[in-house]
Amino acid sequence: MKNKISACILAAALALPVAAQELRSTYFMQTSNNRHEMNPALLDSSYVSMPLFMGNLNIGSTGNFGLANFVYKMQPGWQGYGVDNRNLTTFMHPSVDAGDFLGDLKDNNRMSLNLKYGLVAVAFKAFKGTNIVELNLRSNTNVNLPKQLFAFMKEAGKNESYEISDLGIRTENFLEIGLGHSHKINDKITVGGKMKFLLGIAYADFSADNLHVQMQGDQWAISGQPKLSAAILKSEFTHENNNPSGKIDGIDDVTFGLPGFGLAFDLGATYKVLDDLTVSAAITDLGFIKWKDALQAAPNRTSWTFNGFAEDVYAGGTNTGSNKIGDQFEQIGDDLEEMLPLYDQGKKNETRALAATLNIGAEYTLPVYRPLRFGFLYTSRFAGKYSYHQGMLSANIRPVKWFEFALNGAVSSSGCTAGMVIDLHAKHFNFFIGADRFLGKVSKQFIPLHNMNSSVSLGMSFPL
Amino acid sequence: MAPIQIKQFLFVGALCAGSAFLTTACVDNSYDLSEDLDLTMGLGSNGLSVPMGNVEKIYLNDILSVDESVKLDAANQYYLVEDGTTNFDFTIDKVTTKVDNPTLRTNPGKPALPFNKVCEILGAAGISSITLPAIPQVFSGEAEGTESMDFSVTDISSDIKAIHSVSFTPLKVSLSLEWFKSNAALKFDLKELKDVEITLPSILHVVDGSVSEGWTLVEGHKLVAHSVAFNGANMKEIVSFMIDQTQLKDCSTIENGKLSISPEVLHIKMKGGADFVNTGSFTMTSNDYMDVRLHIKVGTPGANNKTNIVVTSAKGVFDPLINPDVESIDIASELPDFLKDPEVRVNVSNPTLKFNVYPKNNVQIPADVDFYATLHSIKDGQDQVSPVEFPKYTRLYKNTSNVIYFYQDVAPYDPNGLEADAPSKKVQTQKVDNISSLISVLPDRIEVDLGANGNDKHIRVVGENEVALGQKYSQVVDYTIYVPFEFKNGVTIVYTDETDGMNEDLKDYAADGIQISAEAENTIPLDLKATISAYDMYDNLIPGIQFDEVDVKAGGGTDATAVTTALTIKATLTDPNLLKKLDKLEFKINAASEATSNATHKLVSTQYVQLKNVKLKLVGQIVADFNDN
Repeated sequence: MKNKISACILAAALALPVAAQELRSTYFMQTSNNRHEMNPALLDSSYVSMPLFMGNLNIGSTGNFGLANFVYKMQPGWQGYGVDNRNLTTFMHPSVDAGDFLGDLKDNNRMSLNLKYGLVAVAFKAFKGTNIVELNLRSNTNVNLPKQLFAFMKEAGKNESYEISDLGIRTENFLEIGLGHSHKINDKITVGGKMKFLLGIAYADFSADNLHVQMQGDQWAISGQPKLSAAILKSEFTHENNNPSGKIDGIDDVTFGLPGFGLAFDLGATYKVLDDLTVSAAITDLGFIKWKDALQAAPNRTSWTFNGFAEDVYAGGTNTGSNKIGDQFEQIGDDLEEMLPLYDQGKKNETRALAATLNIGAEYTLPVYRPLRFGFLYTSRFAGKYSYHQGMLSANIRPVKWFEFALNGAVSSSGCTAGMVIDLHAKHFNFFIGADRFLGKVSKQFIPLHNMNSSVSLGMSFPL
Repeated sequence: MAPIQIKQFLFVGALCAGSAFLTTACVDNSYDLSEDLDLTMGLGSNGLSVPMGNVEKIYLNDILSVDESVKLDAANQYYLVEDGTTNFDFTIDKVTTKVDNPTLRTNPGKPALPFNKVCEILGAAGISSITLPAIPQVFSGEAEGTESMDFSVTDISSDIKAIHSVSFTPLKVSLSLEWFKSNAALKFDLKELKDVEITLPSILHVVDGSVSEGWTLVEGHKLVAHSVAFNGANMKEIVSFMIDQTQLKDCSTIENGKLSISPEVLHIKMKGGADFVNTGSFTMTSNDYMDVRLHIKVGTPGANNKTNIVVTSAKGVFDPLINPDVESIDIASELPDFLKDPEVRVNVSNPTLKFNVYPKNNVQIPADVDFYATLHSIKDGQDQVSPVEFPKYTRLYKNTSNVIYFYQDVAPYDPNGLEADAPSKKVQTQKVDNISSLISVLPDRIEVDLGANGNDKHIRVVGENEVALGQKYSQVVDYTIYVPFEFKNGVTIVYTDETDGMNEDLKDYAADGIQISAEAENTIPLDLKATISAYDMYDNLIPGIQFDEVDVKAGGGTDATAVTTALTIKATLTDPNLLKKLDKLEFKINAASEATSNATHKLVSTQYVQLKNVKLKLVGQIVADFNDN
């Protein structure tokens, strides 16, 4: 049973239907009503999105590892093969070659799960341009697992020291109220901007920097500085034995409240260099969000050293009740447990910058067949250890007025991807479905096997 | 192709491609997470090292448990103790002793008052008869005579070699003098004895102060009186005294159960003046005389006018046969485990055998007894080494308890402290060179031979002794062998211990091997060689799990002389899965003194061995099965 639970947790972490921030495959699509998410200058039509349901749903993940990096198919002859119908095992199985396992990992194994859920959006012409009012639910979760962590787990003892840096997981969840405007300056230049008010729902950031594990013959030492910040609606830490000075064992007393408030701006512009060549640039999510009274937690000590049992090991002489070898190994575990858990450090207002994204694009219309356009889009998200970079080459074709199709290929910091969008555009109806990253090989439960690059977006809107 | 057809073609193609890409991913059904994942995990890697620190000091006290056989003395030194007991007794049979009651007469032809003496007194001579006047007149004569008192001792057993004296219940000796006349017509009365000297047989011992009044005992056997009056009595007890002993030394021999006494010591003599007085006129002829005789009466005469003497004790030389059945000292059945192994050797410096001899029922033996013991080390029913004979002889002194130590080294070993002389105890020590040969290989038992083998007697009464005849004399002999664990070389003890119940913790793990390095600090003055064997739950040896032999150098015996040995113990498994079967580890530690050591070492309970700076290093991985099987 526990095997299944572990698998589900792993699968959930890997396959959480999280939304891609935006569907970048639509950047060069004329029928797309959502390009303004990437460049506010591309807001050029009036519409109303389907409220609350399928207005604009973006779910996606990026990552440079997949399920198959950690779950292996067992081979005949492996210990446990076929027992109780088991044919999958973890990377910790002794028959999984450490070199192969670690060779398939990156120095930093990243995964990003993103959701953008458009609750409502109304775009209209006014003020000599196009305006938009929108309400979105956004969620971003990022995980960074350094390779050294897995090297330590798989081959503890092979090296004398392990530096585990930049281990972290972060999630931000907020409502976004956006007010946007695009304005054609002249035939060549269009500018746009969007001001977004952010209402924070939940935030948590756990990181362990400079986790140093040293395992020499005479001494084991672990040092590091893990810490946790969290603001989840309105809530409090719970403590072991209800002792406020004790270690944290959960979060409770959750009541409705919006602990975060922020402001962000999107700025963008397009420039028609030639009739058939347009360049664009935008920076989005330039802003901050302030989390009020974020719960702070850190361990009460930052290092642990073991150079032998505290008591001489029992060998038939004097049993002190705690000097038997089993008891002393237990004590090591207890000491480690004491080192790792987090203790309440009070509350603090935390102001965090959003992960700004830079999009730079170039679009070229094929003169001999104008429905066909090619585009290149460079995207860079600035998010510290969770940063992301991508270059996408796209081909867009609109053979008929009511149908547009885009196909692209991209190289990113999480590997090579391919995406596609289909957009059906009637006079007062628009539907799109697409993906920035096709699902590659997946498990039976649709968990990506080789990398976490996946996304699906769809939406319905009603052009005015 | 017409443009509209191209458009249609592109449209349909894009739609199909998009549908295909969007709606179908490549699903690998073999990655089905609805099934359990196998949780077999390899932990650690070759070379993973765990610093464990120190193992507690393992004191000898923790390994060698004390019990009835192995104990600690006041200095915490170990010693082996076994004991046994026996008793021996002897009885000198009673003898039959009788004494005559003779009558002493004057020497023949010399009556006390002959005719010629009367004539002499009256101034007459050459006549054949004389008439005495009626006027009373004292006529002094001389009475002298010798008689022999027959003192017989018969029914003498062969245990009695010589009797030097016989003591008996004091008897009254009554000497009664009777005077008589040769002719009834003689009118004489004995008036007085004067200056009487009665010489008793020299063997008789007169009890001091028992002589009747008026008499003096001179030189121990002469009764002298100045005057003994007779007032008309014809016979009268003139003296009485008590005798309680006869001295027979140098005047007697034993032959065929009978005592022969030199005649001269049996004589009783009398000499003294006898004053007669005539009581009227009468005529005395030359054949007439007056005489006396002395009647000797000892005690209450019985048949044949002999008096039985109840002998209370006799002094002499006795040689009873003492052949006790000696309980052996059981060694094997009482041994602690670490001394049971066939490899055990106990070539200690100073084994000590203590004999504690004391009377049974508080009746002291009034005789010196010499003894020596022959010790046999018996294994499988026969002597395993030459018997050890103690020096001939060691004396058990009379009328006291005796403690004798037989030891091998400089002084005897007694964990309770050496005993010392006391008013009722005599302590002796005797060095014996090769006691340790008896126990170098611990026997089943040690037999103590105290018996007689023909003329060679282990126990014999010696010297002149006074014993109560018919009395059974018993001595308890408690013998204890102390084997202090003090040695130069030649000691090997084998200690076996085991840990079990490991299978519960190990059944989910597999490993190629493990290496333990440590520094062994040893104060025990024995080289320690440990071998480890692995067993499964059914006590079957697992030959595929091998441990290196461990050698730890001997220490100097004290904390200051501890010796440190660097150890590396490697455990290898021919099949890593053998670890799942392991349930018990058996440790066999062969602890031996250095073969060529000349220094003396002791095993003390506070000596220890300690593993320090223990590091555990993996050989390969440990494979753990965390599945719910």
